[in-house]
Amino acid sequence: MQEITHISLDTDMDLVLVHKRTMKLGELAGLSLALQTTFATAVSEVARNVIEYGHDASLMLGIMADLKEPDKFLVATIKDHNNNLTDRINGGLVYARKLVDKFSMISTEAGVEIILHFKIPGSQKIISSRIEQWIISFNLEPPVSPYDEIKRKNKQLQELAEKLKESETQYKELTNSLPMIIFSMREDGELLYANSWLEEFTGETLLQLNVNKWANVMTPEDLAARWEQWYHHVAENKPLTQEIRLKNVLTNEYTWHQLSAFPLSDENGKTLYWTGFIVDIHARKVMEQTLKDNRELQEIKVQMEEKVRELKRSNLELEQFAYAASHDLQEPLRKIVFYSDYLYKNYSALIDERGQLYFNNMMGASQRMIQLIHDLLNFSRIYRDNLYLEKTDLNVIAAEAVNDLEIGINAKQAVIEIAHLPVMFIYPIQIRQLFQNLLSNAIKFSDEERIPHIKIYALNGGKEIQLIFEDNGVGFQEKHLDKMFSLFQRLHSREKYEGTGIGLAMCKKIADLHNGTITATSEPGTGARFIVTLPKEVVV
Amino acid sequence: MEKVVKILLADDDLEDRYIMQDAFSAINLAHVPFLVEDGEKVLEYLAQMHSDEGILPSLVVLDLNMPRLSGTQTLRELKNIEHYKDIPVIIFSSSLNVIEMHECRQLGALSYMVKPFTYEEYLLSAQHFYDFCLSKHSFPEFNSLINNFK
Repeated sequence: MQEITHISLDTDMDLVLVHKRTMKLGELAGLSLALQTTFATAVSEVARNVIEYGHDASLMLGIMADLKEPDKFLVATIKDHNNNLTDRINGGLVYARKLVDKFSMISTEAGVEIILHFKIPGSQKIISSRIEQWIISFNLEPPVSPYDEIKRKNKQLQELAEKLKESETQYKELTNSLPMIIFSMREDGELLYANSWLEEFTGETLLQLNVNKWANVMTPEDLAARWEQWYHHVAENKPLTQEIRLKNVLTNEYTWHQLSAFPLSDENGKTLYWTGFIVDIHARKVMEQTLKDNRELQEIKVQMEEKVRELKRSNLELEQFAYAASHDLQEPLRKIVFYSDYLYKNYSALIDERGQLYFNNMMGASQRMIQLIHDLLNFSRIYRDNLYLEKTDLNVIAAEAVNDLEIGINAKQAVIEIAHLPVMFIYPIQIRQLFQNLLSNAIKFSDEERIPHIKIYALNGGKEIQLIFEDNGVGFQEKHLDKMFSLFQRLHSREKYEGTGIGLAMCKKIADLHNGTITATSEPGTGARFIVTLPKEVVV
Repeated sequence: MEKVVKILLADDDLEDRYIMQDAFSAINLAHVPFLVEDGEKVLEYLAQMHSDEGILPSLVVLDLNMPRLSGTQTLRELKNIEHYKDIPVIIFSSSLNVIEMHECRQLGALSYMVKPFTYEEYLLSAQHFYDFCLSKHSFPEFNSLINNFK
């Protein structure tokens, strides 16, 4: 069924309308005047009963013109919301039942629905385009009375009001759902409107912001500058875009926002107020800052790399210099040692006692210098060029070191305990030197009170191996730790313990060479523990 | 009749040459060493001996740091000349240097010695050079030298 027009049934005045419209529909459907009157009378009868006894009723006029069905009907549907209506009006509808071809009355919980079918005689073709025209003509139908006019206008107004309400709700929902603050503001900075985000973000109501002039949501230094900028822009009447920091009431942190505002003018060009929005651009700001920091870091990195290259170059030069210097120093020194040895052996009888003492001191000094240059030469030779990592059994290295120091070990009756050591990729000659230096130190700095007991063992630590050299010697104070590994640094006098102060510096250099580290722990009088940490895989 | 032994020693240091001669004299072998001041003189001397059909030295001892033709350069030259390549060469250096040692071994030197620090050691070295020529002494091989290097 297709609806053609709709009439609400409120007062007796509506009965006039019902009659008119029903007559009109009959006429459009090609009914004879008699049939028009019959249909109109039936519908009016029902409408009258419903208006009298019912509640919130309406009439819908339509047509049932299915192409496949031979019979076409005009249809009148009256709905009422009073569900107790049926009994009261049943008697009054006797006449109407007789006038139409089909009459039905359905009672539901929502109310009563009465449907009247009135057959259109003849074989008129009623196509949908014609029905469309009927609908239009009903809508354009001039009002039959001032009441009809008012009623119609009322209906239109109501529809408009509903649409407006709907659109306003939509607008509010829209502005509130956008992740930005939308506002309108007077030239003097007084907020007129703001969506819910402003209060959600700042924790301040429109009124509060207007009273304190945004003082609680901006930093004091920003506040003055931003208002000054606002008044400046307002005076120029130009759109405004600026970046501001607003305090988030939830985190109590200032985050960056972009404020955009545009003047809104009336037809005479006079500015009424400003509208605008505030968007969170904190992520962008942070990213910009990060990018800037990255750029600066990159520059610093380039500078650092250049410095490292310079340092490496100068280190290499120094090493080469140390090597050349000690090599060349060795030659005249060898002569001094040779001649003093010769003189002493052949002519010492000719020198008095004091002279012989001094001669001995001189020879001792020369010997020390030989040792010094020898150590220095070895020290300066430790750099990666010409060295190759080799898979080496540290047990063999340790045994060799012990073997080399046999004399010292036997002299002090030292006990050396070597646990099973791993096989590693290392520079074997240098690691042997390291073992030898640490072992010879442990023997040298033994405590006279007890037999030296030295333990060497390895600890496996994931990507690295720790080699531990533990003794029960005199130990050292840990405040000297940094000094100990520097070149020429000695903790004892030459009279007490001989040495050049190169041994541990060399150990450190060897550890560095393997990208490893060396450190030590000790308590004076209880022994020392040297820890060499080497990566399992030396990256050259 | 005892074999005539000649040892050719090259060192740019006058004092070292003097000490060496002194050491040989002290063990009554004053005529054994022939001392020259650099590598060029070594080649000149050998060429002279060769053309005069004189006695080629049984041993050549080379200092490493010498002007014009250094010890290693001289060694290379010697090993490239058919007549001289079988003469044993000992490198006599003032310091141990493993890189130089490798190089000298590759060039075909017999051994590598560090110059002595005492007169006694010099006497012993001179004696060893002489005994080597009579096959009464052998010098340590390079591999053991390099392995002992610390």
